[in-house]
Amino acid sequence: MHFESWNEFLTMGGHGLYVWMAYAVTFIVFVGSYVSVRVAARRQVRELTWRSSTDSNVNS
Amino acid sequence: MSLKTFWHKLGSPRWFYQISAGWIIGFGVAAMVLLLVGTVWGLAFAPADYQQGNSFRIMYVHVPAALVAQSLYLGMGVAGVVLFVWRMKLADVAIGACLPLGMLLTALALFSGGVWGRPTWGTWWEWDARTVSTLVLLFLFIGIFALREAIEDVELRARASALVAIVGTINIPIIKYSVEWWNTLHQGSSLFLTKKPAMPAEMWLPLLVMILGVYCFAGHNVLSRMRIEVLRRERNTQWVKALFTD
Repeated sequence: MHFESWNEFLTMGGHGLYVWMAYAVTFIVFVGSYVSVRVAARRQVRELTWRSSTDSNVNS
Repeated sequence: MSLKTFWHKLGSPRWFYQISAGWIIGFGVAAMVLLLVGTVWGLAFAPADYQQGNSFRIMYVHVPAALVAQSLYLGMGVAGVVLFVWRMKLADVAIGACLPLGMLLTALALFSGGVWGRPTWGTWWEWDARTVSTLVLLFLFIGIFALREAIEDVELRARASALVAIVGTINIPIIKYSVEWWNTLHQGSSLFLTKKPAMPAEMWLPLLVMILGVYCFAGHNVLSRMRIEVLRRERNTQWVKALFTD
């Protein structure tokens, strides 16, 4: 561990604002990218399932 | 399986859909582990830089974002060539799937670069060769994205975006060598393929972990988007219908 205390870790020797801002935005981008692709996948599956159910209703 | 049959099968959306399911899980798990390890290592365990202090820790998010953004663009260029030479429709799907993450990672590289530049260079933004060529990369991503939104004809959209993707790859070597060709404020490369890194192992190892992690994340993200698009385009085929009827 490089830092002696939590406080030192949070302040990053005076560069805390910059370091944490960069990491926070990176975190948001990655979580956002993951969530958006999951939501799109689920929506696609739901639509195809719905289509197949209406298809079979028409056929029967 | 020989390379030739692999190539032929890659043209089949159905085969791609089946084979990529496993890849996605692999990339996803690897990305999660690598990014977690790399972040904790880079933030808390790597030693501070003797000149830049702790602000250099921004490197662990800045470098991988920039590198993978450029790789995604290069991937689009390669897909563009594949589209023109082999008329592979999956290549167009790949171009569309690289765009969202490529755009976001380029913007992220510019943002984290600004945040790193503030305490290091004394400015959020500098009209430096590296930052300007990266800004051009962002505009290329946005341009192709807008192009794809604007053109409705599938064939024309594929050809137009492939063409811009190919032409735009000229910007990639410009970004890479910008720190050598011009007298820039941006620091030179820290990692090299052929010689030892310009920093000690306890600094570059976490960077390597983060780079691999972001590559795996990109693999997961792009393949996932490709699968969604394949399902959408193939929705009227027997194999897709069979997947969703029980």
